Amino acid sequence: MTTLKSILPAAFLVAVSLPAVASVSLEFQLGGVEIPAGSIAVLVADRSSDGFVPPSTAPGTALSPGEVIGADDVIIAVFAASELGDWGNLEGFAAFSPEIRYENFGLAEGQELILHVFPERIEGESIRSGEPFVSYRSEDLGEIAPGSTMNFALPADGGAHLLATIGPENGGTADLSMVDLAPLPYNSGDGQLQDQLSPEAIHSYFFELTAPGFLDLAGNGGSGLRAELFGPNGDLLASSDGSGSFSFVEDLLAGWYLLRVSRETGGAAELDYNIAFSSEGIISPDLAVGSGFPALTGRDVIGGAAGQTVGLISRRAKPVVGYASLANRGGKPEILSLQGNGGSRLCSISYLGDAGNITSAIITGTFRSPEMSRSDDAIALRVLFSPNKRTLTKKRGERSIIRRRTFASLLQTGATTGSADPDRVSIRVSTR
Amino acid sequence: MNQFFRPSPSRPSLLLTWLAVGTLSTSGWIDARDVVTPAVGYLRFDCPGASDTHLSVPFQRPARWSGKLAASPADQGSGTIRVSLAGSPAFSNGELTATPHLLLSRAPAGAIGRHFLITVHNASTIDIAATPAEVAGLTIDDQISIIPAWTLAALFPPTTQSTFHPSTGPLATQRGSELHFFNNSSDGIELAPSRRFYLTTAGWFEVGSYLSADDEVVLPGQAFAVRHRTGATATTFVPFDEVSGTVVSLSLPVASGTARETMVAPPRPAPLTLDELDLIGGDFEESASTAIGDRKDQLLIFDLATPEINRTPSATYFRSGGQWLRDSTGFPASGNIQIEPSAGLLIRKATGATASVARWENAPAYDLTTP
Repeated sequence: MTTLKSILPAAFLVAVSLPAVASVSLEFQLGGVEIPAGSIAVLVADRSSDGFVPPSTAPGTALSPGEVIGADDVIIAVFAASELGDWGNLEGFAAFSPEIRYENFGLAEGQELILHVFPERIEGESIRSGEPFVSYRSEDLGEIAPGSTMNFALPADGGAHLLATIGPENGGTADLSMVDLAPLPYNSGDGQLQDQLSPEAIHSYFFELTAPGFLDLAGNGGSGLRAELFGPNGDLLASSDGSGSFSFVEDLLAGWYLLRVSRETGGAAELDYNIAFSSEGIISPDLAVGSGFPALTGRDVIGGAAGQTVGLISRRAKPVVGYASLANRGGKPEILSLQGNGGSRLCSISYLGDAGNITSAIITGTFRSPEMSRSDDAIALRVLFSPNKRTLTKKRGERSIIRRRTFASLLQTGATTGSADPDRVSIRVSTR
Repeated sequence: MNQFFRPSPSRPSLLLTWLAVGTLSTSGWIDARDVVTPAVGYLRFDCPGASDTHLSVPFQRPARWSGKLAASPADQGSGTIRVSLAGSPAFSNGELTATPHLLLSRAPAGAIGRHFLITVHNASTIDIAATPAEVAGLTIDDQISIIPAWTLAALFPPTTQSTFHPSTGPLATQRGSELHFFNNSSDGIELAPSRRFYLTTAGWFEVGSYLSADDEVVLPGQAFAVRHRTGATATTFVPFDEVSGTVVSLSLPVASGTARETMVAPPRPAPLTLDELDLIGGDFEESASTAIGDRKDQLLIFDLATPEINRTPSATYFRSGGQWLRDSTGFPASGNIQIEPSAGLLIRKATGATASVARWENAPAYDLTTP
């Protein structure tokens, strides 16, 4: 499991000094961010300089100044979301703590700070098991707004300080795209989430199950898209591999859940993503292709994402077999359709299933799978390419050579009774 | 006729000029037997960029009314005292509360030099924020004045002032200069300023609530800080008005179990030596010796010559053996050390057996009435 402790570089951990007799006053501003109205922000100091623990792992901790998250993460201030209209369509925090007493909290100058944002909480309430949250701190001084007299570390005693991280919408330079929190409307039964990820963005979605339930969640986007699902104890339940699409099907206990969507490093362009979820199960048609079982390309890659193709070589115009599999990666049972193109006079294409030749059904689009769901085995297909050797052969003097041609089988599967994005693959055969 | 004097400015940035104004103070002066031409003056302070400059306003606004009490003050509970005024002043509704006003006690035996905020009034009675103990000794026929309070908007009118670089909005990216109030309401030492303000062309606003603060009162003897950000150009502050010729009494709370600091400012527009501060006797507890273990009350001052954000004291003084000593090698006698006009002074009261409030009653070292 990835924790904040492991995220924070050790270079920023500062040795603890003795508690000081003093107070500081702190104006704190952060915004604009996409968070639910009514969220609160909690500013936490790392008293032992050993990194921060995720607050979701410390249920029961009161969200009040002086309380301790985990062993030594001390809450020094709690801020309600600001009602300033200057944030526009976004939300933000703008608040003032007139008197922070280091000695009362056992704190000292130099100790690191982090901001946790909680939706649907008010000061004084306790952290719930699996409490959804997002966190922010910046080690980039370029993101701290001008006029600030401190960064994300406790300042010297006795002064009036400003710590502000303001996004470009409000004239600042801070990238606050990781402070992005929204409810996932699990109780609506199903739905879709569509958004874009900037290079540093982390989008977090939270939902609560009041009773055990089921989640079928599938997403796709560009290469590098990552998703992590955290459960009621803050445990990582599922994560994707960054291949661009993912599918989580989980039986869930009652409690709070957090889906965190991010991207791997690299690339400056926005990364679009689309996530479908269902509390009953979704339909997720999935085709994969290859030169042989079981190593197929495109398994668990859904929605017709690019790259689901395989190239084969036919030497001397001999027949070549490509392989494909058809599956429903979603939890909702569905009869899938499968359609493909036929051959030509230069190369015939035949589709062979376990039950025999299904070419006609594939080409006419009438092929139907049995009702399938994620737990069912994929249907295996062989795609037979039979180049017409006589037609492809030409004489060059005494030699016979094979014309170079490429033939393709384009396969597409989709739902027949429900709604789902179709998936597409291709097998290409080149003669030599 | 007034007596004027011109002290030598101790810094090039500090100028003191007295102006003679040949008018009576106010139309509200109805019970005065002697007609006194008020002394008015101005001071000019430099407020450098990238710095907190500690200031105060050693001038008072002209009294709206002066006269006698018609009866002894009456306790209304909840920290409110009602006083009745002799002579039927006939204040109109809200005249003393639409903008804040203060009651100044001029009674030698009752709260002399103390200022109380007027909370409610009618034609001839006013309610002030005070406890019975605070007005003890004040009785019928005692002299009082009603003075318009300095407010942020009165001192620094948002559309005409030039001391503060204005903000364009509440966000940090829109922020210009700030004005800070020191924390005089909490026990402890080295306390940070606990209230912060900024202004836009629309008025003054307080950090935190971001609501209007135009009528925020700046009390006599209250020090504040002007904060110019890094990169901001220097400005000047030129307070201008009447010179107080009476005793001014300021609170110096004592805490139980800990030392307690109060930031105050001499309410005089002239340099004062430590000996002239009148910080003696029970108001400022002397130390039995120079040993640190014997240390009682201390006076901390600030050097404004060097720009500094979150300014820290530059020197500490205490009294021992009937004189002022500096807390430095040899503990040199320091009674003749000069305090700049309007400078903020941090008075650190030693731990008390019980919580209490000492009074600093400062009488002017000048005479505004002697011909």
